[in-house]
This record gives sequence, structure tokens and C-alpha cells, in this order.
Amino acid sequence: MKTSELTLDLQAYVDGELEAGRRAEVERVLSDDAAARVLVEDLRRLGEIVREHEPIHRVQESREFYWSQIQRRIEQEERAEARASGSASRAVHWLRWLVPALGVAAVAVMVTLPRQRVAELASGTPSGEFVSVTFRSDSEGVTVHWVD
Amino acid sequence: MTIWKRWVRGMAVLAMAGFVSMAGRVCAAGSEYRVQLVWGTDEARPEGKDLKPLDEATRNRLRQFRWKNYFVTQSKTSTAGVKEPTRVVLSDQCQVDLREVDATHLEVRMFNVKPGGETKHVASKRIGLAELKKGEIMVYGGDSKDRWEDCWMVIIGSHPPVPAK
Repeated sequence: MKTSELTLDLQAYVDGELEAGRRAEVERVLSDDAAARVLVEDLRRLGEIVREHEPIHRVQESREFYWSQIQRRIEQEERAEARASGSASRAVHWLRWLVPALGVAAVAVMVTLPRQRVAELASGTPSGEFVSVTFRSDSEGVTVHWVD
Repeated sequence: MTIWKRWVRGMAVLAMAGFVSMAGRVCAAGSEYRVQLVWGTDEARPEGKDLKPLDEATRNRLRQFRWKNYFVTQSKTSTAGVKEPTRVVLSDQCQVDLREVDATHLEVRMFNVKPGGETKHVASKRIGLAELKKGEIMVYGGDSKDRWEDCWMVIIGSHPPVPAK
């Protein structure tokens, strides 16, 4: 491996940019070459120094930009509220229909259920118009039809 | 198995089913039922009246009712018609019709006879023949119109009576 090429590879190795095969080859060179190891250590140290002392440049925010950020945030929140209230109004719209429908269904169940029970007890005979109550005792094997 | 053998076997099964059905109808039509008119009261048996107390087994089965005494004023045994009902007269005010329906149920139609002789239909109920054979009983009951706090009952069951299981 040529020296310049090796240097470039060592730099890439320190930066973690080498492919797996190439990295293995560089590591094999490093295990045999003390000068290369020194160079890698120097490169790492240099990198750390650069990162630690790199100046941070902040862009100066203008007054307009600052207020435009606030305005954008307000608009975002207003849109979110509008979406939430829209879904709530749809729910209210459905409830407006659903509640009466459920009420009608409940009344229908209350009206039909006792009839079914009485029909079962009466074994399907239609003209028991004077029978007010039907008792049934399974343990005694007795069915009583009380007549008004 | 050939088609011929399958056909013969199918016909045999059908014939057997028909025979069983017919036999069931004939047996059901021959069944007898006991119909009792019962007076429920808290009073003791009136002097001079030949009233039999309701049998202990039936009385126990009616123990949910509050009356102290139950007297049988009429007890009759009858078959039930299949096409036409059989009329059972229990008193000058109370009659019942018995009819076997579909060979599976006994239909009991109750009538109240008015003073002028007019018969008023009161109720119709059915009870399964199989249940009757197991000892089930059907009871029509009502408050007495003549005696305050008394009651009347019409008890229908198999004859001879079958103990409840």
C-alpha cells in the first residue's frame, strides 16, 4: 500500500468512513506498523481538538423572524383546535341521530320481550285474554295461569 | 352398496318413521286426563257438605299459594279429542274442553257459563303431552267472585296421576 494512499485510508478509518473489507485491511496494517498507529492517534487527537474548539456561529434572528415564529405556532394550534372541534361536531351530529334510535330500540325490546316470555309460557296459544299472570315452578312441575 | 339396496333401506326407514308417528298419535289419543275443580279457602270444611280435601301430593305442589285448605268440588277423568275437543263439565259455571293438538300438546280451553246459559271463553293454554306423562300439571286459577278471599282452581294432569319428578 502506498504511503499517501495509506494516509488517506487512515484518515477515513479515523472518521469511520471505511467499508468493512477496507477497514479490516487497515487494521491489519495498523497491527504491524507502529508509525501508522502513531499517525492514527495523532489524527484522532487532532479531530477532538478541532471539535472542541470549533466556533459556533449563530445567525442573528431578526425581530420580524422572531414574531413570525410565534404567529406560525399560534396558527398551527388554531388549526389543530379546528380539526378537533370538527370531529367533535361530527360526533354530535351522529349522536343526534343515534340517541333517538337507541331509545326506539330500547322501547321495542321492552315491548317485545315480555310478549315473547308470555308467549313461551302460554305455549303459543293465542286467545288467553283473561289470563293475567302465569306462574311456572320447574321444581314442582306446575304451571299456573291466573285468570282475572 | 347398489342404488337398489339404498332405495329399499330408505323406504324401510321412512315406513318405520311413519309407523312410530302413527303409534304415537294412537297412544296419545288414548290417554286419560284428570280434571279437578278445587276451592281454596282459609275456612274449615262447611258442615254437611261432602267435600274431599285435595290430595297431599298436589297440595304440596301448590304450597306457594296462601290458602289453608283446598277442597275438591268436582273431579273427572276424561280422554281428549283429536279433531274435536272433549267437553268436561265441572260445575254449572265452569267447563273445559280438552283436545290433543299435533300429537304433542294438550290444549285446555276454559269456559265460564253465565246465568243465562251463555258460554264465555276464558282462556286457552297448552301443555306438552310428554310433560304430562312426566307428572306435570297445569292449573287455571282465579279469585272467587262469590266468596271474598277464596279462590277456585282447575287442575289438569295425567290419569292416573304421576308423581312429579
